Amino acid sequence: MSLAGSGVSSKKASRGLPVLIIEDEPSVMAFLRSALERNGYDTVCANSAKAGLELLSAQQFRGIISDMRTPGGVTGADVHKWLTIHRPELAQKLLFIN
Amino acid sequence: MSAFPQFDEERQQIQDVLAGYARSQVLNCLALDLISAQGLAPFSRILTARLAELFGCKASMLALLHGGQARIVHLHSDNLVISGRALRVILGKGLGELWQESMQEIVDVPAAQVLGEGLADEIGWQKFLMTRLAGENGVPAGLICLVDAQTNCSETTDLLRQLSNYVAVALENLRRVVQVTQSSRQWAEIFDSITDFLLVHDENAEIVKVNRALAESRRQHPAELVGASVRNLFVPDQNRAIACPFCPSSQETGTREEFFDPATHKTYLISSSRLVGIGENGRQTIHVLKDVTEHREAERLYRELFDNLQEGAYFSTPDGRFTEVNNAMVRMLGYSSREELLAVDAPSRFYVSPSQRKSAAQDPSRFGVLKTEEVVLRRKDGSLLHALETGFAAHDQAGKVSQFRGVILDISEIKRVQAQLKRERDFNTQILNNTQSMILVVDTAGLVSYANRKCYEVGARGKGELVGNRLEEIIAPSHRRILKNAFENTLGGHQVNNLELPLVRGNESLGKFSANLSPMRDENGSVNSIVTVMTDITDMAGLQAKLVETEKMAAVGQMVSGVAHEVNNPLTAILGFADLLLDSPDLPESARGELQVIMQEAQRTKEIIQNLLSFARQNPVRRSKVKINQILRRTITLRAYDFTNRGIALIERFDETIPDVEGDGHQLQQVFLNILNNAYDAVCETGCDGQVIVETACISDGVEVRFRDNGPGIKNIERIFDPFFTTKEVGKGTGLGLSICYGIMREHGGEISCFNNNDGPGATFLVRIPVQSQAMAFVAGAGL
Repeated sequence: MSLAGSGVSSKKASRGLPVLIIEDEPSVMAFLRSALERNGYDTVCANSAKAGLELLSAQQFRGIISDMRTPGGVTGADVHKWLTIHRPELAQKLLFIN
Repeated sequence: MSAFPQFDEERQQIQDVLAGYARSQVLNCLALDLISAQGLAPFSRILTARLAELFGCKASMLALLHGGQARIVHLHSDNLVISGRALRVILGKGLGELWQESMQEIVDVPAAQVLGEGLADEIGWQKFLMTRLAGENGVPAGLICLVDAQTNCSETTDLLRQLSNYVAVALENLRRVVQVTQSSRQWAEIFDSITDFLLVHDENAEIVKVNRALAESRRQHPAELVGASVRNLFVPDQNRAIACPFCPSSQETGTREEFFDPATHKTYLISSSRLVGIGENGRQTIHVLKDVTEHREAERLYRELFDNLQEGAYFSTPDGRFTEVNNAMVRMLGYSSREELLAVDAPSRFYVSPSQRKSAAQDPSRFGVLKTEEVVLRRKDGSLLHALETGFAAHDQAGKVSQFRGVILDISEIKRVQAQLKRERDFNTQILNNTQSMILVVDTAGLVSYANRKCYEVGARGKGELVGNRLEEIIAPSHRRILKNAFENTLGGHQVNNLELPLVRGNESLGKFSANLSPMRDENGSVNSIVTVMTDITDMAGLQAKLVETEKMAAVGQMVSGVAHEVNNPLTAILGFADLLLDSPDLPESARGELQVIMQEAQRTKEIIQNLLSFARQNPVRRSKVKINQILRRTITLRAYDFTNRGIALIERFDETIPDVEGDGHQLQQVFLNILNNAYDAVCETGCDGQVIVETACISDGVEVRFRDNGPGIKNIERIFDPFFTTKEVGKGTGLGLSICYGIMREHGGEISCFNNNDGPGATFLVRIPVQSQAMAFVAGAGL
């Protein structure tokens, strides 16, 4: 699935909590950061779901964009499961890319 | 007349007395003479002489009567002019006739009546006086005849009557004495003529009589042995204190025993009997010694043969009980001794099927006839003995079976070998008949001498259509030359392997066969026939091609899948950034147009990648029961407009009985649509009356769909499912359509294939869908 066709909202978001991006592919990561930051979001990057979970337990996020498969043995589905237990308010704010 | 007549009477009386005295003297002498006479000849000679003297006659004779004939035993005469012998014949004849006519006691006839006038005159005889001599039972035994007796009639007659009675008695006595003498002599002759040894001894064991045979064997005269001791007759037996070595030890008479003479090595069978009250010495014993040396030898040989025979031999009673068996028989039946076997009381014990045995015994056709048959006997330990029995039934004069005699040959080993051979043969036949290869044996002339079952199945031929015919006949004519060469090569002793030959099957279809020809050699090492093994590789060739295709597609899929994944991420970034750039307000207008081209081409690349991924890694089939006919109708509806517009006939031949299959309706529709599109394009190319036939049918484990068009056919049919392979002009097709169909069908556990029509233009696509896609997991695991 590509974000390109879906269109990122052009409305500038007010500054607040950052969005967590979990993606191991640098080109895709670069595009996601550009698209989000251009629309006024702060971003925090993790190149694996494992690193993403560490960040999630350390700080607050507005939402999460995650690849389904990342290196390190933890998948997007695992991230969702973790969220429903530890951060249920974020479980509804998870966007998967594939 | 006398000179003194007064004394005449007295003188006469004295004369009579004197004459009577003289007669009585004669009679006394006669009686004495006759008693002492030995034999008929002296008797008759004395008698006739005394009669002539007594009666003062010219001749006297004694005749014996036999069946109406008179035989002159003796003729006493002083003076004869003709030969006595001739006269006796004439007299015998005449007297015999005369006597038959007259039954009187005393007959007085003229001599001429007996002899004839001439002869009577010539001899000078006038009168015959005859009297008969009474014999046994009153039948006259003979007669006395006096010629011209000189006595007064009445006295003479009386005297003659008395005399005849006396002579008759004397004659009878004589006859008896002669008989006794004769029979005594005969008996002695018989006694001597017997070749068995005869021996009579008295109570003291002294020899009374031996026969000539015995005496000769002792080199002595019979008389010399009389009085000798029996014990010394043969070499004395030191161990026997008994006087006679032949006398039975018991008191019973007739007890048989054998005597062996060590000097001559002869064996004698002795039979003895006792005579009581004969002779002065009281009890006598008779021994008969019969030389049985040869019998004993024959018996010994027979016994030896019987006992040493390797075959079992027996004699049995009609109900099957053994009366005599030999050692081999004892051994065969597992007994320890003859006695033990003979003591077994149950005939049925030996024969496993006694009923069969019994009926055989009652079969009259068996009597005296040798029959050989297989029997099963039971050994002592219960184990079975397979044997060949040659025997026959001996029967008595009443026609009843009196004895069975037979020889038993142990054929257990032969049986075992036979059974093993049969097992091996059956085993080999089983192998030959159950193998999936055709196996033929061909002789050097090229004629089939053996063909296994598979040959008949493949060729659907009858028994007579292969054996005896030429091998080439089942080969396609085009390859007969090759076979012939291979054949000659094999005859030369070389093995020919993997010769591919097209074979005409029973249903006229050609099959591809791989043939191996091996030479078969006889004991001299020369090739006498050729073993040909042919294996049907038609299906194998197809399977091989299919396998290669599958492997190729799997490799292609793997590569495509890898490439697509790798390209996908950078492409995402390209598209994303291009999109961001287009959104950028400070983008020059000239750049915007070019950026849009980048966007479009990136998008097209994206679609290609998506298609590649759907060929390589199908989305999981959403399985449900679907109706193929329904899906086909829906698909056809989508294109019906175009077909009609172009004037292309679209013919549906659906089998409404096909079962539902498990599958993804949308994916299957995609497959059908793709094929239909290709068919549409193909028939459009030809331009003339296009026709597409869509057909469904049941197959063994699923459903088959055929799409048959009459277009130009497929050129590179082996590459048709390769990704990016297309025959269409550039830009019209991606070359991925059929690759995707291939992927879908594989995911369904089905298959998709195509071939150019044999019987007309165009091509046919074949889709097979199993009722239940069991093969999916397997195929999915094959690398994709």
